[in-house]
Amino acid sequence: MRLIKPRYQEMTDESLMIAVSKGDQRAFNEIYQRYSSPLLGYFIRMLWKDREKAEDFVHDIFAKIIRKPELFDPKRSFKTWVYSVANNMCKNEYKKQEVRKNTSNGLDETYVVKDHNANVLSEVSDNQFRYEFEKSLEGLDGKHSEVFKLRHLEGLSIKEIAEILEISDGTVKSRLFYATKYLASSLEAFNPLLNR
Amino acid sequence: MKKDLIDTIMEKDFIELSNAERKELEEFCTTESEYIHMKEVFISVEAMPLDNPTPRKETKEKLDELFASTYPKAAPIWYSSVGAFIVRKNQPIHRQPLMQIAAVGLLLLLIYPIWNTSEFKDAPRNEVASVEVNQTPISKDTKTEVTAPDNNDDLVTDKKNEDSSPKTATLIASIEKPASMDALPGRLDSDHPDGVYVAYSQPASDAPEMLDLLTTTF
Repeated sequence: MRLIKPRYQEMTDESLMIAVSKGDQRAFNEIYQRYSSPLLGYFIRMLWKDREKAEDFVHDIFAKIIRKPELFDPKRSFKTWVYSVANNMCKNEYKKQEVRKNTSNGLDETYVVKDHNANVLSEVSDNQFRYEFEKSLEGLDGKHSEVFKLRHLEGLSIKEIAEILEISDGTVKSRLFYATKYLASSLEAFNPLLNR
Repeated sequence: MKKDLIDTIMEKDFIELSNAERKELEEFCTTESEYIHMKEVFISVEAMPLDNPTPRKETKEKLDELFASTYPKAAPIWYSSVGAFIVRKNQPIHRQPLMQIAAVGLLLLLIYPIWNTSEFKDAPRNEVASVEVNQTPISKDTKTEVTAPDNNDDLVTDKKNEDSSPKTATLIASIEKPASMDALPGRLDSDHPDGVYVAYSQPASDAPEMLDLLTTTF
């Protein structure tokens, strides 16, 4: 019997996952505490700001961790692994939506209704920049926007993104700079820094 | 997190870039204006506040249920089951068997001294046990006096009876009663309930017969 309880907050993600695979609920709680919020944010951003869907996806990804923790290789980084799983889930969802689009009456169910009157706001603020930025990001194609989101919104390094998307570092950089150039040109009129 | 090219762009001005960094970047931006523009976008995006909402409670509850069903806890060993019986969950404190047992124990502990005191009062007083000392008549021709510095008249050994019962040699000792004994608090005829008699205290060296009695090895 273990006399000293492990300090879960100080444990690495990888060692927590080893404990989870042995049925340690506290280790699972700690993993959930660390990743539930960032993953929910990621899913919201990737799934057309659909909160309900994002909640379901968070449930599904953690259910996967509970049911099949052995899928994670402790030699790898947990963060990279969990984001690659999340990314694959999003890709599957895109495919599903694509099939639905082709079979539906042509209406895009995932289209988010936005208030375009917001553009008339004369005051330049962070919210406005954000709005413009998100609009520009939506204009980007999936493979470029996902790299940009992973790097700048999820805070992952180029190497980690390469691992998640199973592409080379060079490809990540190339996509990232393409996305950045695109965003820079679309936000040129906005010129965020000068207005700060 | 390890720094990469993006961090370099955000941290450094174009003129601060090393040759290696410029070489790495030339594929993506060649001019200084392009570099500055890119840097502005990166910094603005990084500075943008990110809202990472907290998942709903129900999501965690469902996951907890799933965890419990996936990893059922090991069958409780005997003390766990006893523990589960005496410390029940979802029971008010006064209905907890452990608390009830503790309350009964405390009650008994409080009652016991009262009960014990009344019993003591009703009980008859301890009587002084009367000890009869069989004094064998000692004839003058068979008795041998034990050599002692003083007061040796009282310590007599029956030499005749030594052969018949050598192990049960009778030592007759009589202690002189001091004149002031009656004045002492614990007299021989004391009616102390424990039957303890403290006649007086006297150094053993003052009474050699007592000293012998104490140092006799059987």
